[in-house]
Amino acid sequence: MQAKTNHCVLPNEEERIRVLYSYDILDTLPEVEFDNIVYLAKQICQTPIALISLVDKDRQWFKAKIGLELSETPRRESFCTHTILEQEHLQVCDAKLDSRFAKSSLVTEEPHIRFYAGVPLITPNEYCIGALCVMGFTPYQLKAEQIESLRRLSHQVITQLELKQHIKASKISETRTKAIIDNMLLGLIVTNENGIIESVNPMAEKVFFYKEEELIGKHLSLLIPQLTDATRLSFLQTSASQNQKSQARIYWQGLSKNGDKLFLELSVYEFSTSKGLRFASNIREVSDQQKLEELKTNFISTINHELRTPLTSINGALNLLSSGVLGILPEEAQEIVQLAERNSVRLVSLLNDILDLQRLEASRSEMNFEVSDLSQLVVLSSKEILALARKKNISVTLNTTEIKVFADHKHLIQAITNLLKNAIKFSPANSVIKVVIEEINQWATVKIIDQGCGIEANHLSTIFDKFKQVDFKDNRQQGGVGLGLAISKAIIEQHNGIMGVESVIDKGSTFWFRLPAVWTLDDQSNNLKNQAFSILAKSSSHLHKINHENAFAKSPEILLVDDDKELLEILSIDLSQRGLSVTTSTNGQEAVRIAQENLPNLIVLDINIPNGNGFEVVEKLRSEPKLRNISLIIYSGRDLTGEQKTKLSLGPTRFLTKTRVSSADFRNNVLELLNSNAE
Amino acid sequence: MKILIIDDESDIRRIARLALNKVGKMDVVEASSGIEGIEKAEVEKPDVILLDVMMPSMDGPSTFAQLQNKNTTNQIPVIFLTAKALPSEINRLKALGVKGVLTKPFDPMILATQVKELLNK
Repeated sequence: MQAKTNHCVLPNEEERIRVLYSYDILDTLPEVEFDNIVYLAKQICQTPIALISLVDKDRQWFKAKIGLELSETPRRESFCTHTILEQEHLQVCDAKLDSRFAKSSLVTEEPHIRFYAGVPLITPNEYCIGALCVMGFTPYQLKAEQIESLRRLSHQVITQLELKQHIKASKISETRTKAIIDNMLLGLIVTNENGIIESVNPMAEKVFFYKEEELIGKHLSLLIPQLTDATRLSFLQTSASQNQKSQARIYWQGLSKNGDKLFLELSVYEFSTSKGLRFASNIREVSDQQKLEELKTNFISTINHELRTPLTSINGALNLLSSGVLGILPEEAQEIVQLAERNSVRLVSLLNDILDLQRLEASRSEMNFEVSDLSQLVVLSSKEILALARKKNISVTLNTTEIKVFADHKHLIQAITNLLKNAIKFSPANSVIKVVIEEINQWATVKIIDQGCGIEANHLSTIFDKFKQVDFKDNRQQGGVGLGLAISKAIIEQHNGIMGVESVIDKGSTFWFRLPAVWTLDDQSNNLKNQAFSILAKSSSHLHKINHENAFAKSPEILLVDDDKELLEILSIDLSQRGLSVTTSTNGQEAVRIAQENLPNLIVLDINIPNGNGFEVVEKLRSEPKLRNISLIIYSGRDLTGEQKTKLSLGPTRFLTKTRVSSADFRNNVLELLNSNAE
Repeated sequence: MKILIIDDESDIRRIARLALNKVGKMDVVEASSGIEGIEKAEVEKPDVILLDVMMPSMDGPSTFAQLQNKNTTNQIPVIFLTAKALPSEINRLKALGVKGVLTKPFDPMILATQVKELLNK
């Protein structure tokens, strides 16, 4: 109530006002909960007046009152401000005898207040926002228990204020949530654990052409008919747990009210309520997207055919020209034809890449997953890039630990090979590419670390995009990065893995991927791994230690002996491209010398050669213990008798007649002998 | 050995003819459509037919079906030559009962060898 005193400045005034305003209570209509409290205060204290006074910046406003007409008064004369200052209860038994209030107009004039008692209203965070007070027209004194009752009633005032604030906040939040759900672009269906629909949002109504009231209480199988009663719960639970694990989307066929089949993307999550488990399904109709996807597939398939047909002619014509079947070309013309041939091969491989990527992205690739030793797959991938690495004298090292993964061999090797090719492409000559396989938190992780020029930070996020050739610092055109990284990433993702890259300019890049590790005690694949290492070990005469750092980039070595230099060149190129290290010789004497120096894994020998024919060469090789077990292919134009064949045998030996075997047959024989050699 | 090439693309026929004749030393007969191919097959009695898959009016599989229906031609081995590259498409073609499927682009230097290998299977 008012008193003619100076306007008191209360502690933490600014914060106090903010707290008061947060209740949003000032200038609201009377409410029965607060009216009841002042009624009780009046009865308990036996006074004519009781008030709930809230102290604003420059006024006090009464939320509830009995025995007084005013609804607010200026703050400077307020009794209650003093109650707030006191922080405890304030009792003025006779205002005329209290110097603070004796001259107050409230005391000297109407309504002639003589008695005041108030307790502060203290919020949970300790701010006094006002007082609960009683007043009278004659001197009076409250008993201790009456003051205690007032104090307890003041707690009730705060409890009511808090309650109303919470209800308001939750109403706002509910309204906001409803607005979001109602305007979502996704359909939302909430079911109980039996799959009974409890609520749907307008988008779900729109997708399925049902009204909410037609769906509530029905089984989810009305909308997704593949769900039988038996599978419903497990479907929801599996979907929800899959969703939590991998953020993966699940595709289902849905059915609308008018019988249309819908293609749906579904993401299910589980939450508990007081009534038990509930499942919320986010539903997106992707039928249009599906049609678009089909169009894209058909388009790519058509384009593929349309491009492949003319390329067949171009490629074929160039092959025929460069082979010399149609006559020998002048040297310069030969070079130009080869240039064109190289580029048409590049076009064909690009075409294959586009098809690959499209199949991977549409999840249409035929994958055969099996438990596999990751290091074995890395070793096989590295074989694919040996020739490329050798061209730049780059060595590849492997630091491995035994980890098994669930993999499709063909595709994972393709992914790793692409990464290795990329590393070689952007590595300087004579550098080292490190491949590290390790287990990190149950993920099998492969890192391919190069010493290249590095990638600018702003390009890292787009490097796996299709046809993304990053502008490298030295601005050198590296030619066709194209689709390799995008394909690798798509393959890793099909394996439930993740791929990424880290890079430091001028230091190099680390491309990495990780796959879920599989834990089994599978001796068979352990053997396979050992076998893979043994092939590598035996295939390189330079490899001394196969332990931690496996220098597996050394390839099997082959010595080709023929007096036909052109044939030597063609065979060398073909075999080098398969990752083999090839040395050539055109005469017998030189061939024996090279064999002694290099200890090749395999020799391919013609019979009619100068300086010692094939028979003499074999005889020489047989005489030396370290050479007599080398694998041999006799590759000549002659038909040989049994006796001749015996004379020409060295280690494992095969006889191929030049006009009778295709280049593919020849190559296969070479590879088979090398493999059996390594076993 | 006599081989019949059925392909609507004259350029492809030309390259295949060179590949099979110059490199593979085969006698080559050409046809530019399925219908012409069936006629040539009856008259020329080739040892093998190299048949394109995508052709206007009568495609490779239909041509193959007609060849199979005639007593005069159903003994002649057929090899498809296709620009289809998907393994599933290739498997579908193989399942029709041909001797084999070769894909475009082909290497003219080994085309004849590939044909012979398929015939010897």
